Amino acid sequence: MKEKVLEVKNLTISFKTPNGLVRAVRDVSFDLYKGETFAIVGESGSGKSVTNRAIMGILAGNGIIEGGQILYQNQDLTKVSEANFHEVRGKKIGMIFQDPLSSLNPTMKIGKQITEAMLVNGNRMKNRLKDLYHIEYHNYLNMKKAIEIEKENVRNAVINLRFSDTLTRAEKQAKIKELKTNAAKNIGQLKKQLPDLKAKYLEAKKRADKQVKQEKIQIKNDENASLNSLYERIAALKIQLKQTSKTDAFYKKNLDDIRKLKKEVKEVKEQFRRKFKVTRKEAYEKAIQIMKEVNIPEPEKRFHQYPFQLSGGMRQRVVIAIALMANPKILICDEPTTALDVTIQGQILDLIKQIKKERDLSVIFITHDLGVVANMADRIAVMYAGKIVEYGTSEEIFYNPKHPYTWALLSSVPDLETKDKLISIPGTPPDMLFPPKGDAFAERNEYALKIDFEEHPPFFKVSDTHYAATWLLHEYAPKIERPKIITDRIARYKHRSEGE
Amino acid sequence: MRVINIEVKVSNLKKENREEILRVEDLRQYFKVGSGRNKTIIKAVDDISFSINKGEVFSLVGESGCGKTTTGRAIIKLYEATGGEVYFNGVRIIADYKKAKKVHAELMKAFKEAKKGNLSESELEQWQTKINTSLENLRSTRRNRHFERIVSEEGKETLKNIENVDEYKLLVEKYQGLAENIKTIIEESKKEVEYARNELEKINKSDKVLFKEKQRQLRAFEKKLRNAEKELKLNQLRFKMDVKSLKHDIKYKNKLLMRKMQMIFQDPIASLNPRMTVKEIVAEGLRINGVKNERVIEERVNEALKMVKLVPEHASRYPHEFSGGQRQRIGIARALVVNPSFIIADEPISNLDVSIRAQIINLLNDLRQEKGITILFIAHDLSVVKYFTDRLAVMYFGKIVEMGDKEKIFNNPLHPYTKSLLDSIPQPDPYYERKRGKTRRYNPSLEHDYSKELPTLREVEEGHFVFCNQEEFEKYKASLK
Repeated sequence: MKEKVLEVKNLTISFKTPNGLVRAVRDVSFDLYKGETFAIVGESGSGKSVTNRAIMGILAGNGIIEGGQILYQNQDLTKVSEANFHEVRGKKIGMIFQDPLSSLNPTMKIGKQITEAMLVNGNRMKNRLKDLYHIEYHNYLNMKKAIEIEKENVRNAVINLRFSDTLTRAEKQAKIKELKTNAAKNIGQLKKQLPDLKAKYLEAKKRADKQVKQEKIQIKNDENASLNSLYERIAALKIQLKQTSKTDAFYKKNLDDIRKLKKEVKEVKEQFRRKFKVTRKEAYEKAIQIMKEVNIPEPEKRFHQYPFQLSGGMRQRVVIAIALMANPKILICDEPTTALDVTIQGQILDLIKQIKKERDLSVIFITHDLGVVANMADRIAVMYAGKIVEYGTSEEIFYNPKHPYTWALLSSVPDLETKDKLISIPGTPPDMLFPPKGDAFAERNEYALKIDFEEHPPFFKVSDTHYAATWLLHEYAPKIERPKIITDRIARYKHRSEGE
Repeated sequence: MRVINIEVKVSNLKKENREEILRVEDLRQYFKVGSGRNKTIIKAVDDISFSINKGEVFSLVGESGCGKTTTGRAIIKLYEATGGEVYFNGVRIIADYKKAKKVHAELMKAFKEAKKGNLSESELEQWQTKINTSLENLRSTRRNRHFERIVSEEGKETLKNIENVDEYKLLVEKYQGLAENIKTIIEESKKEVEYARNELEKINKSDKVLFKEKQRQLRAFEKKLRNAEKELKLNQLRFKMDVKSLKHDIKYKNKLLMRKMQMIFQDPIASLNPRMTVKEIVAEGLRINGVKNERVIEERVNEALKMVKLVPEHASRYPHEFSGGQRQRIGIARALVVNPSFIIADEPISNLDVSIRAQIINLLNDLRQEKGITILFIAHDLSVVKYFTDRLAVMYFGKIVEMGDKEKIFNNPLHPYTKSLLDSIPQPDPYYERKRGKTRRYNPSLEHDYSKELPTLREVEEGHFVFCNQEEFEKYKASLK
């Protein structure tokens, strides 16, 4: 069994609009295993980007996570506050956006954009201090949050009671009273723990402060010691220099020695400075290294250029470099090649594959191009109207698709041998202000059954890794053949792979 | 370096059994960039030639920045071409004044040389005619360059007895038939009206219910009659309009031609004015071409909307109320409303969602089959191109590197750039994709050695051209056998 890196459980996201709630993601669950590429496919508006923005914690201001969990390292990302999210975002989960031109700042040089995050988060002593009292601080914050959640729950429960129809007024009041007293007890107990936790946190902070101060002094002392010996040697050489005449052979050698030592002094200073914070030089070195890794030619020259001076493919490489600077474990690629040409698309896909292999990354790949997915993905989920309708390994999705929407997606793109008329999906995606009852795809689906309009189909198991949400897989459903264009294509591919 | 004789090249490109609709000769489009010391000239399109036959789909393929869109825009005169000539329906729509001037100067020089020796009278006459034709050519190119209306002398002649023109005859036939139909309807309804009146007079007025019913009947018949009469008048008007435009078409050459050529743009959002309703957007082309009657405009707009599978009710809405695919269809309707015979489709599907792409491709395919519209299809998605097109040209940095029939190029790609392009098409087949490995990259400095001889477009096999020099040419030819 492979190791799970990320787990999304029953995630539901809505957006507040003046017209009401737009249900963008409805009950989406998937796992991401270590070292695999998981692709999410669907047309625009299907909620694939929103899901991943929620994972990154960059939902738009009016977005609400109504339910579900995003578990990363036993931590629920939906409950992490904005103040603490920066420890995950970028550092653990990196993201590549669709349009490289709009995700780069046009007024900043590329080098600055790549090194920016590293320099801003570069105060090593501060980071160390935070790490030292991290646990106590979070215990304190979590308790605070728990109290607030408790309060919120009670408030909601009271409101629900008030508007319930089954109870009489007296009963309601009694129940509310009971609820409130219980809640007050609970909250009181929780609140009692607060000062204790706060004291612990303050104490830890004080201790950490002291320790860091000592460490700072230690480093300074070390630096002074190593510098002093160097200075002494320089002084000795200088005295020798004064005694020798300029024509002497030793004079030149001494001068060179002094220069070398001065260089050494600079290096030592740089080394010790790096213990306090990330220096510009360090960031530059790292940036150049990463730019080489993403195959940017002449990185030293590019470092001082602006985004508009680069081609689309190069810009996308820069975006990838920025994402890689913090060594993330998960990389989310949100349609990274849609704005690019075919040839450059191939190069970028190769690059992502190569990085994934080298760094053992787990990749979530969002796209609407099924050809791209065949190249990249180990597993694929097909999304429609905020729900996953089918998921499985890429072989299963391409050679044995079960959901009519997957059929429609596959048959709406011509491949190199297609000669028949393409099957276009009629109509438009449903308005998610009023999500349809039953299967959302039923209206546009020529194979829709009567039940599709009434009840949403559950996931039917096709194989251990392959599930599809369509009533067509139910044992009582009529047996329906896939569209001819797909069966033909699959037969052709099978023939080709056997022929080779 | 421009070496080849144009006549030879173009005759090669042309298929004899099919009618040619567009011919591009040595088209060049340069842009001046920067100022002062940084001033440079970017050769977006550099010396390309091709021809398109009637009813076929010709594709220009290449990565962004290779000049394929610029070519399309230069042909439809959104840019003023730097050089080269474009013939549309046999008429020169873009003329190369500089070239004509050069040719004329050379001719004059030769004439001066010849004059030094003694010329006989017949020879002198020959020279004179040569110089006259060259001068005429020079004048016409200058006129052509400045968008002047060209009044064709032949057209003037034919206008005098327009009754003999085939198109006119067709029009007359069509409208006479319609008019007769309407006239029969009018006569029928006249009879009905008379009958109803008689009935009404016969009835006793005391029977109110019956009386009212009969009255209503009479009114309905009368209305029908009025409508039919109106229709007849309108029919005459339409006939007049069509004759007028026909006369205009016969008299002026290039205005008509540019109407027969239309463009579909890449971005369905940016190419539609958000402050105009769909009707205004679609009707704009008609209004520019001098159609003033509102009824005719409405009719034509509705017709165009139906052609792209939109409903006439959509005409009063604004572009933002539509989805991406519908917007692109509005763009197509705008092109179709003036009855073009040639459409330049500039990446019409690259900005659309997957599920909508198929709609637009099917629509363009239908239009081509039903109306026989010729399409210049500009794209970078090769699987769509393969599905849709008859012939294609692969462009790289302003040059055509390979051109020919679809089968020939996709089965036997010869130029390394074409190979790398074909190599990078993603296919919905995981096994194949995994086996394929890395995509091949095209690096011109590694692939070619042009130090000895510069490349030109050469015909390797029938209907298959490759940009190469002699050495490569022989290599390619050998590889085909």
